Amino acid sequence: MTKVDILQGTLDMLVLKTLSHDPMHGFAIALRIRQLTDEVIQIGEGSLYPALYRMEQKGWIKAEWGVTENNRRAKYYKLTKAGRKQLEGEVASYGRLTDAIAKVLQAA
Amino acid sequence: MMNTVGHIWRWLLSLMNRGRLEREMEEEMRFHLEMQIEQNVASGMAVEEARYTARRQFGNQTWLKEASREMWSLRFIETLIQDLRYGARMLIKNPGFTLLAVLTLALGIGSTTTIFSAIQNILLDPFPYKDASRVVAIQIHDTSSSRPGGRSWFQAPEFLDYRDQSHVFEEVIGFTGDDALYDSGDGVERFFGGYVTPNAFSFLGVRAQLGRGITPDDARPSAPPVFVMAHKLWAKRFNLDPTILGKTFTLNGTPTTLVGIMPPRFIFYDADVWIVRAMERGDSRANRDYWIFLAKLKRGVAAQQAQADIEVIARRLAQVYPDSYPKNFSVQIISWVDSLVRQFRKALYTIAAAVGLLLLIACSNVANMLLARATAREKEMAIRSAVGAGRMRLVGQLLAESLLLALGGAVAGCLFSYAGIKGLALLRYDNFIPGEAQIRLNLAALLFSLGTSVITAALFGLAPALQTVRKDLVEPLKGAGLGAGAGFRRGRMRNALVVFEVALSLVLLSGAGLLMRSFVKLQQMDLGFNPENILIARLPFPKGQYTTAAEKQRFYEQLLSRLRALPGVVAATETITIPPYGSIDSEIDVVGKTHNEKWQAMFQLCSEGYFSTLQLRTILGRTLSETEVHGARKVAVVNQTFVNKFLGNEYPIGQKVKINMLESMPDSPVKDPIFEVIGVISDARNQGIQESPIPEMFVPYTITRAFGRAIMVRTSAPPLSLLNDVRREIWAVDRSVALTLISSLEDLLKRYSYAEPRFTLVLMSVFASVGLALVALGVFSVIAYTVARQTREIGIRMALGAGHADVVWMVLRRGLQLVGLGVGVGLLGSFAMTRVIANQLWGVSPRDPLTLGAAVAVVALAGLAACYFPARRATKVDPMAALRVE
Repeated sequence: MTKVDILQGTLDMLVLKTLSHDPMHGFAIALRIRQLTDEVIQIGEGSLYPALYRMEQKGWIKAEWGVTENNRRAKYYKLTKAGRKQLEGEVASYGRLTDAIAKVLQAA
Repeated sequence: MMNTVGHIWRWLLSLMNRGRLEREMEEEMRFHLEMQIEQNVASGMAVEEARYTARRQFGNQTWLKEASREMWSLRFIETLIQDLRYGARMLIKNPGFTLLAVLTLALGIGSTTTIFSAIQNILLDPFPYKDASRVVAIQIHDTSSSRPGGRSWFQAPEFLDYRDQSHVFEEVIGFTGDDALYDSGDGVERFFGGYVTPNAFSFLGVRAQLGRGITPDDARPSAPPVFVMAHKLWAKRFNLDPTILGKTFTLNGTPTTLVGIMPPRFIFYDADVWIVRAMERGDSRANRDYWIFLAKLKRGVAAQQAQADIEVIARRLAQVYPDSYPKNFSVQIISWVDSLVRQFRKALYTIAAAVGLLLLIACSNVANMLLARATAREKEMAIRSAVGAGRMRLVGQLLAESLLLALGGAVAGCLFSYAGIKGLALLRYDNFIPGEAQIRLNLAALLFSLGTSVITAALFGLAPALQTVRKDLVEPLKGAGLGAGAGFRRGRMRNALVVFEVALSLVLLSGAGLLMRSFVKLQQMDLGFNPENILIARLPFPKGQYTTAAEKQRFYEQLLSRLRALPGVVAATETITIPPYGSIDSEIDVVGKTHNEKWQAMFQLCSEGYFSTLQLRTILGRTLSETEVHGARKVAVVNQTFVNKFLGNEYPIGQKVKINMLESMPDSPVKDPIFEVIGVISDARNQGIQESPIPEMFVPYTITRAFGRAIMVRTSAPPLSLLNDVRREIWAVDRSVALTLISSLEDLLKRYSYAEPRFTLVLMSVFASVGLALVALGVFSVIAYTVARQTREIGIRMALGAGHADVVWMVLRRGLQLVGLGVGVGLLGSFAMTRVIANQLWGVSPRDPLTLGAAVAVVALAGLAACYFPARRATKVDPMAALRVE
């Protein structure tokens, strides 16, 4: 149970963080995360899109149709104010969590 | 909060934009796929390979869409609606299954609800009165008597002692019934008068429909005489005429003003009119009456506490009034309801147990059908699971289907129950229940039976989802369920259910069978008298007249000779009680004999026609002669039991018997009540039809003026056809004598003696038959299913040379195994269950081998018949077709 929670929360956090500078479409989000993590984290479409729709439903991100460099129609996701706040909160609590885990690991 | 509102708002928006969102999702995913392909090509793949890899990377699109859709909906509500819609569609597509399941559930729910409603409305909450649940009665039970129950009425001094010495009662009221003879000017009519203590109406707390109830002021010596009328009399006799309120009626010779009319449910001991009667010590009038004692327990006082308190008082009072208490007695505090329903409570509980079994059978049957369907739907479930339906979705959908079934059953069950409650009334059980009780559909009862079926349906309806839990998707898709291994566990479950059902139905059937045999025996039993063609009527004399034995004798002598002269009358007699109930109990002594314990016998005050009217058989000597009756001679005829019990081997004729009660009774005692025995007659029932007779004596009615009198007339035509002639003769002797409780003896027996066993019998038979039908259905469905599964096996066997007989036997053997096992379990159950109804059986052992044997035979036959059709179908299997299936 805990594992799932952490993973789901982490996915949301990663997506929000990725969107914190520029709006992006789904494929780009997945690509960016893969590149940034040296392919350690590969987000499957089966997780990404439900997560995007869920966060849109919660009001953390907003979707707009736009055009790619190759003149293709694509759906771009943009961070909202609420999303930014959510990101800050998640980053903070994630920091506390990793600190705590690190302490345990060092003690052992 | 705001968040939730926003959420719902977005959901509503998305609902409206559902089509656009769907399209956008499609487009977004296509875009993603194309980008992936481009990237794959860029990394050096061939176009075909790139496309294929991208698709594989992308995974199950349907599932992805499904998961994504869930993100923009209030999933719960939407899925529920969708599930219900889909479930309804599935059910409509299988009308046979749906109809059968709903009908089965409806039968279970309907009958259970009917009976439980009856119990709620009869036993638990029958009264419209204030705090009726706290009202109790005192019962003095003779512990040497085999019959339950006992005396719960008291003469005024004793009544007042109980009231004044007890500490547990908040308030006490008394009721005594008496004739209220109404002189309308055209003739005298007899109303049943309810005489009540002054506080009775405030105790009961029901407002009058018109006018007012009785108040304590009405009992003051100077108060004008008033009375209150029952709704039923107002409707029947006075056509609901409101103007009679305030009018003055002559009741028992006294002008009495009608001050109130009570609502229909105010029955209070079935009186026609209620009149106040103060109960005071030393009041001779009140002392003669026997009062029903009703008390409201103080709040927080338990029945046991009250019992302890009253026990002490009763032991003390037994010393004060030794004649009124048996040698060994116990004191019981019983609820008001119990004081009225008495034995009927047990009958109702038996029926409730039976109907509970029926509900179990119905539920097992539906479970069985659902399991069978589960197997048939293995493929459907596997496909839906394979194309991306989540486990929760499957469960939710199956639940929705079950819920729909149960609801359908509930609606139909309500209709059944409504009809059932109407049908119950036909069984004329109204004499055993409080008149106040109104049987209505009870919500709690309905919810109970509904709950049971919903749980069953939900539990077994989920069976198809089990396989998705096991993740066993490939097998059903491949084999389409024709192999031997799949569904094995569920097959065992179904067999167990059928065995369980067969057992339950056997228990029900043997119960019904025993009751039936008991009832037949009861009806065939020789009562000792012949109840056919006897007209009975009670003849209350007007108050203040006929105060001596001689006056009563004059009336009856004239009347009886006139009646005998009527064409169509065979014989006529005076009596004080109507069979099968004997008359007054008394302690007796046989002159010259000593005995340690008290000798008890009944004595009947009758005329010489008594024996020929009832067609009693003379065993020895002779019966009363006209001269002896006219001359009030102290002679007696006794019954066989009397001789056996008190006279032993001595010659009965000429023995002298003293009836102590005649000497000691306060109302006109008889001096030296020693009677010479002149004859012996065969026994006739005198304690009700089910109990064996006790010693009884028959003496001339002319010896005392005491006790109310009645007539019995044996006719050669249907008795009630002579009613007008009889009435004319009575009024020819004296117009002021009323006729009441007119009936034929047979009808009276039907209503009071046979109705209760009949009630239990009819209901048990109905439930047992329904149960049997359901069980036959259950056996049928299991065997038919087995045959369907074994089509291939049967085909192979037939191809290898098995004949029809072999195939039929193969199928029947399976059925026999199940039924046989069920019968075995059922027999054990019957032994346990029938002990419960032992107290309602008469002349039949609860383990009567004949009845149990017959029940087993019926169940077995029904089971085999249910196997017959599937077996026949099995023989029609075409070996070639069966083998080609795969």
